[in-house]
Amino acid sequence: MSEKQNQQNPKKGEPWKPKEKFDKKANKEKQKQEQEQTEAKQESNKTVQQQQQQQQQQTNLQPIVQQAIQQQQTINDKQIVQTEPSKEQNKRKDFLSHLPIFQDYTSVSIKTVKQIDPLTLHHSFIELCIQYQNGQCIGSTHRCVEFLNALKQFIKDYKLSKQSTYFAMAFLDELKKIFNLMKNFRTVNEGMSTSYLFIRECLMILRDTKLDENESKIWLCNQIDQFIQSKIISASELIVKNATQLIQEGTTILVYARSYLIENFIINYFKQGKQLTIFVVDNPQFGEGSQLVNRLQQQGISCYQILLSHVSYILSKVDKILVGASSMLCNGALVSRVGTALLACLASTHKIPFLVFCESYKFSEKSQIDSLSWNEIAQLEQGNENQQYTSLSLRYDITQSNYINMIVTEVGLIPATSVKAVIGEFKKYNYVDAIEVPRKEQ
Amino acid sequence: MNTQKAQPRLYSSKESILALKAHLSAKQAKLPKNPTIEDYITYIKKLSNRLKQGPLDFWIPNVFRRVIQVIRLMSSEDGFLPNKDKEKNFKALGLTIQRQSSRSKTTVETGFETGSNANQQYIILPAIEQVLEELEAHSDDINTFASTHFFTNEVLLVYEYSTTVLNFLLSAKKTRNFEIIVLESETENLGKQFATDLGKHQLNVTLTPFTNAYAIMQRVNKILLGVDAILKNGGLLMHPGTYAICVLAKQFAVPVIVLSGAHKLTPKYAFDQTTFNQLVSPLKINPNSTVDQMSIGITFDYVPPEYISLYITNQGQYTPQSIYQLFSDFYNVKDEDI
Repeated sequence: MSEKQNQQNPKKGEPWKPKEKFDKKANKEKQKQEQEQTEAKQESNKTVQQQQQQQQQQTNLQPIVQQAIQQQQTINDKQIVQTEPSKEQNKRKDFLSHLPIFQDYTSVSIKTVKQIDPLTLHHSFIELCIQYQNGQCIGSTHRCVEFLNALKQFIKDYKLSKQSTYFAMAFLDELKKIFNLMKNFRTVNEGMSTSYLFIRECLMILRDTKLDENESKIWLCNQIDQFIQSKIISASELIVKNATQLIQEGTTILVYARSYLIENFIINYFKQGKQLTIFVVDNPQFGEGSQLVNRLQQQGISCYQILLSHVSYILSKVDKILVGASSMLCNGALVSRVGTALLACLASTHKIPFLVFCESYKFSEKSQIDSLSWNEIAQLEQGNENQQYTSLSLRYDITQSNYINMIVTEVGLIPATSVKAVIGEFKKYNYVDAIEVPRKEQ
Repeated sequence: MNTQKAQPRLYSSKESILALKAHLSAKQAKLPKNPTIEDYITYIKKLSNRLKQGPLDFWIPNVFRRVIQVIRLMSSEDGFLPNKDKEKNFKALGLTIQRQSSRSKTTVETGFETGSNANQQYIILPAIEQVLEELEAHSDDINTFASTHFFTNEVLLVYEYSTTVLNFLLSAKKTRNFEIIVLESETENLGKQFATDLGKHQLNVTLTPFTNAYAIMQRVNKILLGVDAILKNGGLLMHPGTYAICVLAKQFAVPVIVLSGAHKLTPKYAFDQTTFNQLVSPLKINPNSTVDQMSIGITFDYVPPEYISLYITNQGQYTPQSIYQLFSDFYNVKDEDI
């Protein structure tokens, strides 16, 4: 699967990094996923063939159906075990009862979700959602790119039910349904919302032209590739370039959790032959810090690892703090991995510059002041049913704009308060430079 | 799995006093034939050096300092023979403090008796007993202040395991209704242990990882902390991570209350995080770390006194500006170099 994804990516710039298997747990889960994939593929094949109503394929259905039934029977035991804790997970009696809790979906429950919706959820999305669940696909850029890749797969496999309706309008409905279904697994982050708006703009343009179904699919896939290329890959190159000017050789930097941009920046910096002292602050709950350390070690870069509670010891020795973002809000606040706000507060007391690396497609029009009014509850560990305390762990953190010294984006180095102005600029251009109108010669 | 409740050390404060008792009764041969009070005091100082586990062990010297101070106080009274039946802690303390204030003009050096061995046994052993009683009852004395600082339906924040805080909350529970948020550090399971122990007593407990501290701080009304050592300037040595919590508390204007027995008073000074600190094994930070990965972990966090609102000790309540008074009552200036 990863090879296919690399081929689908644009050739310019760095290829997208494959998913890592840093844990034995993740390996086991990957095996489970593959089993579920094969089941799901069989099922999606089944439904596609039913739509076409060909007799030859119906004769092939029977052994597949039998296999599916057998697998369902073996999974029934799992289903019994897993529905009980899911009921308890839905109860949150305290001050966070307004926050969404996502159930752990097995393949069986995904099938029930599919039964509710008459149209199917494509197998690439099922795989993606399971990865969102078990923590294999975390990080805003990673999730967004994987989502767009899954969407491209879906576009290629998508067939219009009636040939009289336009591709554009039908696909727009499909897109909305996909988003609604995916919200059951994890909240849609800001990058994904921006890409959704972009695709909607493309579909509006497509509606006015008169292209074939195949041609419009190819054009749409190209547009998605262009979005990834310009908004993510080229943006990261520009950001790295901007940041290299800021940070002199030999400084000591502190990095929290893992950010695609910061990782690229560090690797690039060392490739230029310069040296940095790097402290990586780890968050053992998500394991992102140790992932970053492993990635850097593969490139031959050594760094110190430290925990967030022990950070006070080295703060006097650190020159700059670099942090990645999930999104930047209109009021200048930063939405990032939980724990960033704590680090920002410590940085401001010790007068250490706090830099945020964020691409412009993650800028959001929302505003938020504190971390509790909207957040996502992370339930990565199964608690005991007998425990007399409630455990709480959040995913995101809001850092206020007065703690942020500078945001490094591809449009330049901006203060936190200028986010609103940048969003206004982008709105004029549909979030990307003017979209090329497709021509029928293709 | 390690679920030790306090810093793992060979002797706790109480055990070290019992060890002292055992040493005195067993190893009389090490003392000269007619030991004076001073001989005993030098012996106790040598013993503390022997039992100490490294330069960062504060508890044993503190306790021995207190024993020496009580011995000095008891022996400064001429012809003082304490009652054989044990008096209550407060009364004994009150008497010693009264005697000290009445004798404040006389120097400590006068008044050492060079009487018989039995006389000095009447001073040394009761002194040890008194300190032991202080230690055992320190929690009860702290708990007398339990409900004076809380209002109804308050939200309290605690960090990692502290038996003093646990007892405090259990006694406050009788008169007040509150909610507790337990922050757990990333390394050990002490936070979980604390949450289960609190939950057993039907308290409303929420367990949060340390990284969520900023997010929940806006909801917290007060912070209760247990401490490893209180320094002479009012600064504290505590579990790593408390400095970050105290900085956040100052940002959100949340009062920080420190609970400790007076045996944690340490007459030393620190100025930054590195004065009293040592690095721990990298395996504690990252159990999967390999040889070429450098992990940094520390034992203590130093918190400057500006971040604390109140110290509640078994000797009373103090502010950071006035905690030095407790040192002069509790210890003697001569013994600070143990």
